[in-house]
Amino acid sequence: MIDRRLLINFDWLLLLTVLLICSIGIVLIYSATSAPHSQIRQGLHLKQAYWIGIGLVVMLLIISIDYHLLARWSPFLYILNLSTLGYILYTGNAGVERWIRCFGMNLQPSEFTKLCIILLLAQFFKDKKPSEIGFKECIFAFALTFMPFIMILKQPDLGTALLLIPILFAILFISGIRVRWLFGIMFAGLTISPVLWFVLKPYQKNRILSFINPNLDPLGAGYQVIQSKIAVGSGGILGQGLLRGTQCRLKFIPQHHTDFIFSLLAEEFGFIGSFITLALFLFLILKGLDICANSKDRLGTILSYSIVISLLFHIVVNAGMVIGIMPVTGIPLPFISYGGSAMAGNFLAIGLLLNIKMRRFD
Amino acid sequence: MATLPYITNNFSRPKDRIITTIFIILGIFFMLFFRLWYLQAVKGKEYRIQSEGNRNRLRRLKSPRGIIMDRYKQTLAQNRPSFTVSIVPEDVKDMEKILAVLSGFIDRPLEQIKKTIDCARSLPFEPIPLKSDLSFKEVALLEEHSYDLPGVTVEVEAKRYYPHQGLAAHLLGYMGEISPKQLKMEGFQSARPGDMIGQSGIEKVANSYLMGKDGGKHVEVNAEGREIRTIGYLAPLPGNNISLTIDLNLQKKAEEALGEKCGAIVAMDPQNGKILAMVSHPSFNPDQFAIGITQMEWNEMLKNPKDPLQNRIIMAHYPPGSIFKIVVASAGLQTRLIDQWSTFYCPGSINLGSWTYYCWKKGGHGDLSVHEAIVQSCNCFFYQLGSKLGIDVIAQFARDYGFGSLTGIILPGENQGLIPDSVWKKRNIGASWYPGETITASIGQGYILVTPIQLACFISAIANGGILYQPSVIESIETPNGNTVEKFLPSVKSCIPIRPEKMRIIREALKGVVNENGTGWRARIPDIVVSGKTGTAQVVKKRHDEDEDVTGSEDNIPEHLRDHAWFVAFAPYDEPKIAVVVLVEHGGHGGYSSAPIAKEVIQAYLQEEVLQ
Repeated sequence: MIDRRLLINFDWLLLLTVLLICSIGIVLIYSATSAPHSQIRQGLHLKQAYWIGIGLVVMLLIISIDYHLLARWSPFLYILNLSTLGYILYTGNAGVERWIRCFGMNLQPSEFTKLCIILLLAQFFKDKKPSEIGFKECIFAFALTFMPFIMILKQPDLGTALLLIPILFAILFISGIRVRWLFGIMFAGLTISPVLWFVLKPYQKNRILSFINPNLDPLGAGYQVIQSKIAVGSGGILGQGLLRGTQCRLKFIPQHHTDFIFSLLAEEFGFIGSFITLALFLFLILKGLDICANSKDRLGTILSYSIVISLLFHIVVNAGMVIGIMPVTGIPLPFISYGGSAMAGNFLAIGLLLNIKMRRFD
Repeated sequence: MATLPYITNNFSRPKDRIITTIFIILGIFFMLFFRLWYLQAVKGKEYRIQSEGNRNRLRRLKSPRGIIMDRYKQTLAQNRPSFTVSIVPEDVKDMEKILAVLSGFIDRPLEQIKKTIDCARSLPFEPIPLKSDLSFKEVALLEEHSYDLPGVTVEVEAKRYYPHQGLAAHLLGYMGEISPKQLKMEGFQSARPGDMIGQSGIEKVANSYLMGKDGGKHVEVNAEGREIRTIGYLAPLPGNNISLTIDLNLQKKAEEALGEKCGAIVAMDPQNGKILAMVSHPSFNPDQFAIGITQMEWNEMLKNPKDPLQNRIIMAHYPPGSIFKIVVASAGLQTRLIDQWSTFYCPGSINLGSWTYYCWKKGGHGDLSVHEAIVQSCNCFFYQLGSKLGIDVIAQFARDYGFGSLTGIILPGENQGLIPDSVWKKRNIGASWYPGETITASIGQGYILVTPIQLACFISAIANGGILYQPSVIESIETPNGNTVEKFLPSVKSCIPIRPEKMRIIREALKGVVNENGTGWRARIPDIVVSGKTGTAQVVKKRHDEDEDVTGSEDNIPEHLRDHAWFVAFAPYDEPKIAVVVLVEHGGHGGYSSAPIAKEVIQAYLQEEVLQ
């Protein structure tokens, strides 16, 4: 399946960027877990390297399969994903766990949901002319996104669930939906949401309220934001140096090896370190959009565009949360936050981008 | 960006939209860079200072525990303020010097303070408590010198307090530090090591109601660790209050009536199973646990052969003695083996094989009806009746009365007692049942074991005409504002399968025990008809199966070998308002030691009722 011509078109620079970002992650996880009093297991950075290895393998696997074929399989992938999400809810692990055990690893199916939706909807919209995208198509796309959305929301993982919405909009947008329609849908969504509000239970309302306004939860999200801002700010221009960030190392910031890892980066490596990391991300995104603009066909365009937007939202929401311009959610920073499922999902996404680029000539 | 035409499809390329996207993305990243520049370059120094002393701290505000009250809302357990001195080691610059000063102020050896700090498993910047219950002098000293003691804070803390000390201690329970095992249990997710939780009694079973929800505050501190500003605040949610079914005044009277003796008293409302008083002696003082009990005191309590921690009412079991004759009598009546007029002859002893079983009255009672047999507590009557019934029938009736199974009271550690039958003996001892054992069982000795609470339910059922209630101790649970969260209604466990006219015969006989020169005459109260039954639980097997000896000639037997004295009673006869069980360990004869106590309790309650 992989011939020489495909290999010539392999985007080494893209992969190198990803690996650079990954290595920043390993250094940060090492710093995070070697803190005194740390309750996090030592040596997690090695485990993260292992996840990166697995990510590379699944990436190679996905590259070897033509993305047209993958898109054709998408209904099965979607149903498989939906049933694993359903299984988690059914077995009662919901509310406590988001994992299923598979081949001796704990998999978090919600991390793969976005890819499944992207593949499924890209396959659906690839043969539709922009003028053909009307009410029915929108409803269809919404319904397909809504099901996993509700299931992930019930886990409960509000952040991951909400990130499905920009992906849906990205697919509709790049498929050529009229901008009027897009605004119409947003408006409709805003009018419906008060109705949904009354269906929610009090604790769910609280969660959403403190998501919008962290000050309502002064000792939880509000506290984290202030501590995180102090951590970022105290890094200054050059940073406090590796293993010297007091805010994160003394556990004033929870989850500093996962969701709040960017604050550790900013604290220990300062403006220079965080600027370089964000610049690498920006480069990755622009590379992805280049692949999108030059893809062979509509399927490739839709796929690569929505993958890039998904990555963008993860980066912006996570970094924005750490620097206090976005609400606190459990969104990991791609390739840097500790976590196997997210790593595999992100490498799958990169694999798809490479896949699209390699096959743009045949 | 390089552009290449689409080869395979004819749709217009969404190039414009991609370009728009690129501009938006560049804008977003510019904002991120700008914000980072602002936080790190412009405000960097300010934040650096904040991070150095870790000026932002999260302080926990413990929620006050709910109050426990009696049925008339009189306080049984509450909270009192206690001043505690704590230290944040990270805020202390010269530890040696400050500890030396501190040890002089709070009268603790320096080594002990150092050890406390070393052992504290706390997060950085978390205050480590050094001494609670500071005297006013100590507080004044510390406050006066607070400027010289950076990192040392004095805070007020709520401590559990039992205004009546050891009163109803087994019912209320005690508080203790949460164990590592409990920390992992459900319901304690927000608890931390060192927290005090209920470890027995009501404090334990209703812990989740009493506990409330901790709050906290996010404060900014200066370099000495003193709070200078509150940034976030979450008020603690106080726990719910609990009203018990017990009556404080009656409880006090009962405690006094039992005095220094080992034993137990239960008073129950026979019409609904609510417990009015619950005394188990020897007792302990839950206040001691709240202050913090020393290892030595704890070991002493555990080693005490009289076991003050045991709630005898539900945990201890004893042979019921002659009280069990009520069960045998009702079994005889219900199975129509006997009726009101049928008699057995008591010659003073009966023989079975090579064994002789004695009645307590030398020379015997002569011909007796069931009424007279209960009033006189004749053994021979029941030897003969029991033998005719057989152990399995007796056991069946005993179980119908609630013996041999848990009463279902919510307090932890209830004992179910034992009602033996032939199957039980085969399975557990591996031998068949001997007829002689039926004779012993007929007068409530031998294998049979009952708890005081089972007897209370039993005598209540006889008092109310046959309804077996599940005993309850909690009346209601209320929020701190007084809104009812949960109200506990009487719960009927079962109805005793004895016909009303047979039950009347039993009740008449119990009235006779107290009022017709029976064994329980010491419980007689003028103007109130008390009914009851005496019982003696054998501690050591004696040659004479003696029961009530009106002269109380056991005084010459060493105390630990004397029998346990039972008395069960209810009053008034026509419309019972109180049922009482009294057990005096090694008290000798029920009629002699226990009946007067039951009389005092009944009198106190009914007189109070008149006043109310």
